[in-house]
Amino acid sequence: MDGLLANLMFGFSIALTPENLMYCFIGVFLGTLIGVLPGVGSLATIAMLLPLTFALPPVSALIMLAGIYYGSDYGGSTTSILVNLPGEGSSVVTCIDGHPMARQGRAGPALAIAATGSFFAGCVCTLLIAILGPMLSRVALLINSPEYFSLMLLALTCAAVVGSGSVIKSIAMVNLGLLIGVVGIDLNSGMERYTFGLLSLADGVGIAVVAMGVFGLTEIIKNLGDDEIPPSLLQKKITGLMPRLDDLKQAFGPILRGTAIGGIFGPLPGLGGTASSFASYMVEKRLAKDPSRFGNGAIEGVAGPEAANNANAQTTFIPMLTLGIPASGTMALMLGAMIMQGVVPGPQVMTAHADLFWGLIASMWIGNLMLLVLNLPLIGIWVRLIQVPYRILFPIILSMMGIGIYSLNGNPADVFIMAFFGFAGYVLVKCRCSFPPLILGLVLGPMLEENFRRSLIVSRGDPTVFFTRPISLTFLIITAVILAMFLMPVLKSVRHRVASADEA
Amino acid sequence: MKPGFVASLLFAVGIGVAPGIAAAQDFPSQPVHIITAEAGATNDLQARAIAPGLSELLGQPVVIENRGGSGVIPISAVATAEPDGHTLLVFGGGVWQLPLMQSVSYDPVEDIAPIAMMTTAPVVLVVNASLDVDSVEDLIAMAKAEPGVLSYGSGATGGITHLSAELFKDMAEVDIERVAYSGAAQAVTALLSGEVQMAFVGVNTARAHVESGALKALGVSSTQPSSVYPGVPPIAEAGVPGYSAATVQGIFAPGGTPKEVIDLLNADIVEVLNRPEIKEQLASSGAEVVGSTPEEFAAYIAADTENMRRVVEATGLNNQ
Repeated sequence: MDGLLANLMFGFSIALTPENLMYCFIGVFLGTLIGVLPGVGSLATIAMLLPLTFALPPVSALIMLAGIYYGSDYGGSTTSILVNLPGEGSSVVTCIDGHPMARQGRAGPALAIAATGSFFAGCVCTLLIAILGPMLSRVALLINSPEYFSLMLLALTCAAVVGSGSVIKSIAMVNLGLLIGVVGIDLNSGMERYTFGLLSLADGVGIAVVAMGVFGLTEIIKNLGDDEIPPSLLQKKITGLMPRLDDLKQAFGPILRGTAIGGIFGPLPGLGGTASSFASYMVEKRLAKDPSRFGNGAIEGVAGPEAANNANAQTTFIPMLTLGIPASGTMALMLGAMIMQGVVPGPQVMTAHADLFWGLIASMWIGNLMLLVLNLPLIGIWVRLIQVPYRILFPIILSMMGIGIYSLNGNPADVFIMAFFGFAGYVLVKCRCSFPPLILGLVLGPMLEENFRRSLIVSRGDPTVFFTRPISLTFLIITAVILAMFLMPVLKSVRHRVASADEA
Repeated sequence: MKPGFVASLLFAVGIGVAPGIAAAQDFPSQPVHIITAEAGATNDLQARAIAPGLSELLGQPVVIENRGGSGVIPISAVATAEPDGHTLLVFGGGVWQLPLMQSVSYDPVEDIAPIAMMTTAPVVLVVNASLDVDSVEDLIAMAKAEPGVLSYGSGATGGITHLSAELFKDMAEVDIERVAYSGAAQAVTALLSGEVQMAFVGVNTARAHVESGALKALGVSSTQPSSVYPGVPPIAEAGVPGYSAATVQGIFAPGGTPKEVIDLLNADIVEVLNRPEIKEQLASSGAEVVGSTPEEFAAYIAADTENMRRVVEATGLNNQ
């Protein structure tokens, strides 16, 4: 423990030098900016800034790039809440309850709780990296393909069971998401599936493209399709900029649980911010006394996922720093930055480049504090945005979406694909289907299939592999319990109906 | 750089060529776009490494454009671009290897003109430290004694981590199961955790885990001992004579680009590549600078196409 304290002090002594403070600020400021702009992701920004960082010392370069990464997660929630437009894949979930809160005049508390939740998660997970980093990276190695498959199965079961409205429609939407996820080149054979020979579909359909279509664009069509175009997005008067005490009380549990979920998912490759925030949302909805509040502006539905998402952004660094293995595309880029700086990534970074490791960790804590200070005063400005007359606001949102989607991959076809999902989404809204299960299917589907096939290849076709591995078995048992908990009341009511029919 | 110098440079190039090629004399008249795959990919990082120097020599901004993930999207974009030298491609062997495995919209010889081979990087055959082998010969013996027990981890189909292993299987006449992962990083995680026993990975990845004792390096894929990973024998000298594989990164123009433009670009690019700071930067990422002529690169591509066609046919990859 003394060693840890000494290490942290050493880290702060590096992170608190004036120039590193400045790079940290530039990073988080840029991050907030690109987070707010939909579509402009941290991946593209870091790629563009990478050559500029060669002139900096390695610690400063990584501090700035890391700041951009977790800063964009803070900013990403802003447009989700204000105009139902997820700036990043990971803020899709924030739309579900954040935007209804904004329309009820509670954009201020929603933004504030998102920032507070992110700050709390950021602080806790920074400590987590410092204390448990090396150990967590060993745990990540215990999670192999069969475990991933069972975990995905658990998540999808939760999605169908916990989805709002009709269960049949939720299951249908999960399946639709799974099918969209299949589009693209198959990993094992290299065959194209459902691409209709179109080059633009060869890499699959991006989550951000679908999410912006079905959330952002569909919302605009829906608003314009009303008998009367709403003068502004606001339905009720704005009530307060900061959360009330009972808001904080309500949000406290979700933030704690969200932090735990995001912190655990972070080091596992593939389970990014989107999966973490979905998991947190499902847990909160399951635990809520009145689940019907979810989707209509429940503060727990903002607090939990936002905490999860930011916790994930921090602990994603663990495998990168301790094993030299990037868990996401952005981390691969950070790894590239390290290599170009002459730091050979791998288990020896912690000892051979202790200044880099501990300096970066300390800077993350400082960066999170900066983000909180930066974001809270901005709320006053953001909230005014939602009062802008809708006839002025929607063309701006529309063009921002177009530019954002184009800038993701520089592929004009993405703009058309987004438009397609916007219109398709409108049809689905009219059929009273909800989108979260669709996005979840799209996120998890490809991983489910990939890991299922991989497990069977490794086990040479033996399906018992899912039951003989303890961690995998545990996930499967939890899945079965949740299914049973859900099916019991249904079966009972069927039996009851049968019984009463007998009496009649 | 002074505009006057650029003008005189262009003039010097201009008088050296046959009259009537307006495009060549005008080049470069506007910003040069280098198209690469996704941000952070090897081709992208290398394009970004040479961009500032190239821009300085050409006297025009050099802009890097990312087009989609892996696959043929960036290649197709350059194949159909205006052949005036203002749109270039930095990409790996996929340019000529992918058409062997899937139907593509471009002809790798007609629609893409090689400018220079930029770098070559060997891959390293690594095994989990718990596997009871210490050399390539041991590994081949084990695979022959217990066929179908070993599996290797690979990234994308048709990528270097896949093809180098298939070439190994073909030449060593062993049966090793392929387990596909969505990226080389995930394949390494699986190798560390023991889900697969072996993989062909980049030099930096190999070195980090070999030093920590988690993996053993059995051989490098270059025919000579590699300067970027000394101390590990070439696979060709350790049991599989003639074995050779590498991650090649090259720079290309659309087919039909005037030869004068290609030669001008080649001279500038080779000059930038040979600057000590660029060499060092690329070496730190595990790549050796080549800086070939367009003709040398074209000859390499023709030879490699034939080698890979054999592997692809032997493994049945072309029948999909």
